[in-house]
This record gives sequence, C-alpha cells and structure tokens, in this order.
Amino acid sequence: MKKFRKYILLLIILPNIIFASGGSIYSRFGLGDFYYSYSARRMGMGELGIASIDYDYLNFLNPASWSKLRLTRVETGIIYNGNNISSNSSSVYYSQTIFTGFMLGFPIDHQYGISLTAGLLPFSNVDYDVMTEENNDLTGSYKLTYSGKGGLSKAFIGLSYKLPFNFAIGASLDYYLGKIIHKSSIEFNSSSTYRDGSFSDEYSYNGIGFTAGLISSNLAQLFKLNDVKDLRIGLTYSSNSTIDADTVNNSTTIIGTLSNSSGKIKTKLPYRFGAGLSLQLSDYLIVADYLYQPFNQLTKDDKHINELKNLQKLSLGVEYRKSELKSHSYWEQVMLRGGLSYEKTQYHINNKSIDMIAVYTGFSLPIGLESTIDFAFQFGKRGTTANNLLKENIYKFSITLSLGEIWFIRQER
Amino acid sequence: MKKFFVIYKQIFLFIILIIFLAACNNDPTSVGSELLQDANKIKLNEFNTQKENVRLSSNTFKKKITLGVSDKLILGKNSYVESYILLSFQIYLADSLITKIKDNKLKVAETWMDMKVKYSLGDKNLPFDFTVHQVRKQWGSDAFNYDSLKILNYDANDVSYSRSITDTLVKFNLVPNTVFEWLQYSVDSTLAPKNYGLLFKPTSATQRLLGFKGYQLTNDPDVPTLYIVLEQPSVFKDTILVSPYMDIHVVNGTEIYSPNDIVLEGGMGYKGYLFFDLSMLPSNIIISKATLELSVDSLKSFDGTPSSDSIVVKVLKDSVSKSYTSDSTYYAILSRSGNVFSGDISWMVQKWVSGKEENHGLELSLADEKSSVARIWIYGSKQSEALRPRLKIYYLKNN
Repeated sequence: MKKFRKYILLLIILPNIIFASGGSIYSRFGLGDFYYSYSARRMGMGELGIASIDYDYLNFLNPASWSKLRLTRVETGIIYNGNNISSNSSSVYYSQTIFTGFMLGFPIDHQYGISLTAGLLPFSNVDYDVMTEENNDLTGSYKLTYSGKGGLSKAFIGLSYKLPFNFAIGASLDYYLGKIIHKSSIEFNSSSTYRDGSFSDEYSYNGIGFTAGLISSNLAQLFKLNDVKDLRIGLTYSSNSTIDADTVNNSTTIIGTLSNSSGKIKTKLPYRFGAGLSLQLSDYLIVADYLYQPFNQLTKDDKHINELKNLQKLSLGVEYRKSELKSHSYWEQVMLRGGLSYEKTQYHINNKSIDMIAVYTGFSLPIGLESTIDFAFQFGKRGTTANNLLKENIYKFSITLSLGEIWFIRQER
Repeated sequence: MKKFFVIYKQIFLFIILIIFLAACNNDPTSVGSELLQDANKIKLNEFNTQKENVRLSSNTFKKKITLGVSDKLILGKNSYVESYILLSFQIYLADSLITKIKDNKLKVAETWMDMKVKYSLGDKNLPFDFTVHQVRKQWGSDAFNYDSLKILNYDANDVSYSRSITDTLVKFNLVPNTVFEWLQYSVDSTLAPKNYGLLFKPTSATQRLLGFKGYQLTNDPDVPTLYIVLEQPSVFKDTILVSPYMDIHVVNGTEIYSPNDIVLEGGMGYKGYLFFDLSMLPSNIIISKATLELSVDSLKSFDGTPSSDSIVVKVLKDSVSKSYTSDSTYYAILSRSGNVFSGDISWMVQKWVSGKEENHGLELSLADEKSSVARIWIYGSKQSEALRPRLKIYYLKNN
C-alpha cells in the first residue's frame, strides 16, 4: 500500500492547485450536469458499461457487476474538465478539476458472488458564471452577474449476489447530499446613486434512493457462439428519489447580508434506467449501452422545469486487454480503450434539444497486483449556436487509481 | 506492443498538455447570457408613494431640547418667537492688580462688549434692540429653560448704554461700576455682591433676531468678549479681555397649530412625525435607493442666515412616545434645493422591509434646531398629491 501513497496524495492535491473553475450555463437548469462515470477506466470506453462484469474494477452504474470481485479494491481519481463555450458572438474557455470521490469494494463470498461496496461519488455539478451589461435611462449602465456553484454527491452502500444459472444481481442504498448555490448580483457604475445588491439561493440537499442491477450469465454458451468468449446483457435501475432541500435566501443590502430561511422544498429526481451488452471476443471487450432518464418528471418544489426533457444516451466502447499473458511483461498487461457516445441531454432550451456526441480513449498501466493507474480522455461536442444557444467543445481528462489488495486473510502460524 | 503503446502514450500526453496549457478564464463573461430570460433576471423596480396611493400620516410635535450645548446664542424676537441670552464671566486677575484693587487704587475706566453676529433671522431693516440686566441668582446652562427664566432674579435697570448694532457686530458699553463689583467680588467675596452674570432681553419693539457664537470649550476669537479698561490714574492703564465661561439662550414662542403639516422650528424643539405604510412592497427585496422628498410652504416659513437647509431623519421605535430605535445615533440628512428637502433613507426602508425594525415612522427635525430659531413649514399628508411628502423607492427583486 505504501507505494500508492504518492499517487493518492497527488490526486488529492492536484484539484486544489491547478485550475480556475467555471462551466456552462446549461448547468443552471435542474440539478446541473450529471456524471455517468467517475473513473478513467469507464470513460475510456464511452462512460457506461452496464453489462460488463469485472473482477478488478468497481462499476458504480450496475451493482450486479461486483459479483466477480476478486480482491478488496479502492478506487479514486480526478477529472479535469475543460470547456470551450461559444455563442454566436464570442467564446470562452473554462476549466475545472474535481476529485471524483472514492469507492471501496470487499469480496465476501466468491461462491455466492457476495461483495460489499460503498463509496462517495460526485453525482451532479453546477458551475457557471455569466455576466451581462445592460443600460437604461434611469440608472445608466449596470452589470448583471449570474453564477452557480456546487452539486450533488452520492454516498452508497450495496451488495451483489450470484443467482442460479450464473445470473448476478446487486443493489445499493443511495444517499444524495450536497449544496447548490445560485447567485445573482447587480453592479451599477461607480458614479451611480443606486446601490449594488446581490441575492443568493442556497439549497442543501439530502435524500435517499436505491439502485438495482442484473447481469446475465454468459449467453454465448446458450446461443452456441463459439467465437465469442463471453456475452452478457445487463440492466440497471435507479429509483425515483425525493430529495429534500433546506433553502436559505441571502441578500446583500445596505444594512449587511440578510439571511432568510424559506424552509424545505422537495426535488423529485426521476428514475434512471439502463441496458447494456458486453461481448468478449478474444482480447477485445466490446460494450454497448443505453441509458434513459425522464427528466421531464423532475420537479422542484412541485414545479416542472421547462428546460428539462428526457435524457437518452447511447454508447459503444472497446477495450483491448491481453487475456492470456505469455511473457508476463509489463507491456503485455497494458490495457487500451476507445469509445464513442451520443447523448440527447436533459436540456431542452429555446425549443431545441441539446445533444452531445463524444469520442473517448484511454489506457491503464499496471502498478502492482491487480492495481492500475488509469488514464482517459474525452472530446465531446454539445449543443449548437442556433436559436441563441451555446456550442461546447468539452475536453475531459481523467486519472484514476484502482488498487486491489488481499485483505482479511489470517496468517497461519 | 511496446512500440505501439509508447507512440500512443506520447500522442495522448501531448493532447493533454495542450489542453492544460490552454488559457483558463476566471472572470464571468457574457457567453451564455443570451440564455438568461428576462423573467429570470434581477429587476430594478420603482415604488413611488405618490403613485401607489400609500397610506401616509404626518404631524408636528414638541420635544425638549437642551440649548445649553448650542454653539450659538440667539437674541431678539419676531412674530412667533423671542429669545434671551444669559452670560456669566469669571475674571482672573494678576496678584499685582488684586493688591491695587484691595488698596482701592484701581478703577474701571471703561468697559464694553463686542459680539460678532453669526446668525440673523428677519429683515435687517427691522428694529432690533435689547437691554442688559445684572442677574442676582445662580443659574446653570444644563437644564435652564423659559420656565427657569420666569423665576430668575435679576435687576430691573439696564446696565448697557451706547449700543451699536450693525450686520456684523453688536457693541455696547456696560456701566463700569457693574464690572468693578465683579472685580471686587473676585478679589474678596465680602467686598461686593456675587457675580451671576448678565441677562440680555430683546426690547418689545424688536422684530428680528441675531445670533452670536456660544462658548464651546475651545478658545474661539469669535465668542462675545468683554473688554475692561483698568486705570490707576497717572500710573498705568490696561485693558483685559474676558470671555464668558457659561452661556445659554432661552427661547419662548407661540404654540403651533398644525393638525397635519410638519412644522420644524429651532429653539422651541418643534419636530415632525412622518409615516408611510410600505406594506405594499414585496418581501425579499434589496433597496437600491430610497429618496424622501418634502415640499416647503415658503409663505409660512421663516428661515435665517445661514439657512436651516438640512433636516435630520431618525427612525422611531414608538410613534406615541416618539422614542428612537437602538441605532438612533445613525440618522439620515435631507438637504434643501429650492423648496424641496430630499435625501436618501435607503437603510431605514431596508430595515422595515426586511423586518429588522417595525415601521413606526420617522422623526424629522432641523439639523440646526439648537442653533437657530427658523420655522420651516413642510406640507403634510393631507395636502395635494404634488405637495405631500413622498418616498421614491427603487428596489431589486430576484425573479
């Protein structure tokens, strides 16, 4: 474990020292942008991988995938998120680096596929900072600034179990928590007799949900596909959740900052459904996935948000991994990945849906027994400049440490 | 495999490096502002009590004010007010002079007072005159008022003569014996009656008022000065200058009848009460500007020189007792421009609309109420829409 400390330390320090934050104003709507993958390993092949059952990786989308876990695992990482945002008239580059939380997985019983997994992961992200200059006869020119920060995290604990006929199921109890602050301020020019002011609405969220998943047995045998080593389908379902939010409105006035608690509001997070296929051909793992979440059902304080519609995501990924190591050389153990995805995001603004297309690549370097340091890069295009919207070129770079160790083995004397 | 991976890794890291080195932006930009719909923006709204038919009430009330701390001494009278001055002197003499007075070798050859005019109210062509009387009873400037004056013991005879009154200076002689008595008393209290100072009374013909500098602890060449010329015949002649060590002016006036208008008057302590019902304003707002405007009835007003051109506004905690809120050391000032007093009272309105203070109205008073006798007549709540007090509020509301 000692040799990994420097990597862990680096991952903790990096987000704090590198970049200024910022992002797209699309995240102003609803609960912000959602994370589908916290790890470089999944990002490298299109972010999803619902049907993929791994012995050396913790997949947070489908709890059933933990049933083959071989060693106790710890996974953590960072994501650098660069965003070049263009409107019809100008463009800006924002960047943000976040700590992607951590996951811990403990195999309990290999025979029954029982593994216990827990973690704290980023779930959604709000980050925008927009300014506009306006003018009127009464006050002269003034600046309006709108910014938002924060997001939700998901803490979870779950179990997997191997069913008869080698089907695997899993479930996790999810606890959503986090704070989102939307701030708006007005600044008159210095010679104006009008006073500046700012409002901020702070929402402190907490709520419970659950996720359940199923992964089939190897269907290649069933369909007698001799060239296919492994073929599985997977399903995952995250329940509707009612997330409470304590709301505090702050306003900066001539007599100081005034706080006014406006009580609790309820946010209804719609269910999420995913289906996937994983196919192992020789040294290549191919995954194809579909994810759906009806965001038109999301309500905040019983009000629907007009700018949100149903999310759909399709992804396809491939991983090259030598299945039979001949020489046990370092380079034989390196894994390579690639993928692409198409996403109809939850945003539907100015009567136009905001779509995203992305390509991915990545690799993993072994750093010990069933431990890797994973790298991934995503390039995506989201939105359009038509209808006064924004087009974003998204660059994501992720590093994840995936550490496997043998724990809980009693030494024989 | 190794060669392939090394090339792949180099390309990968090169792309990452380019992205990391790309310029990052810290400041908010206008990119994306097009997506902010007008309905979601902060709005500056206007609330004008004149247009909104806001319930409004006003009146005039009287509150005791302490004139002993005034930096002015006002003397004279007009149609609505009369003012008296009390001065007291303490005379310190050199030992050599004390000896000469004891030996009865010194006499007061002449004595006069110079009083520089620092305030006037009324046409300068109107008559102004006064008499000066020796006070025969102890008085103090702390709580002295017109009721105290009515029972003050003083000599009936006028000890002043040769009064000269110009726009800038009032000068008069005092009967030398009056001052000599003070000198004798300061040398030996058994030689003469105690010195309680002088009372200045306006004559009945007087129709205007003049103000002089009051004693303010620091040496000020403009305070009234008593000149005493001491003479030892054929030996020496010397003049000593003495300033008052205690002074006050006492004001008496006619009662004001104003069921609704706000009449602010210096000296008498007439103040105004003003209340706007702002319950029509929405909650959770930021006051960006709140201007109170008051119109002056110039025909009923009497202003002096320098002009009473500022009004102090304080927040009331109780509209009946007229007590102030705990932060009454903070106040707002309204300044005069033409026939309108106006000023910003944003913080007061913010406190009301935020629920930090209950709205029990405002107290208005002349900023120079202790050092003037001006009467400023403000149109009240029952006047026409154009004349009554108005509050223009510009507030920010988050949508």
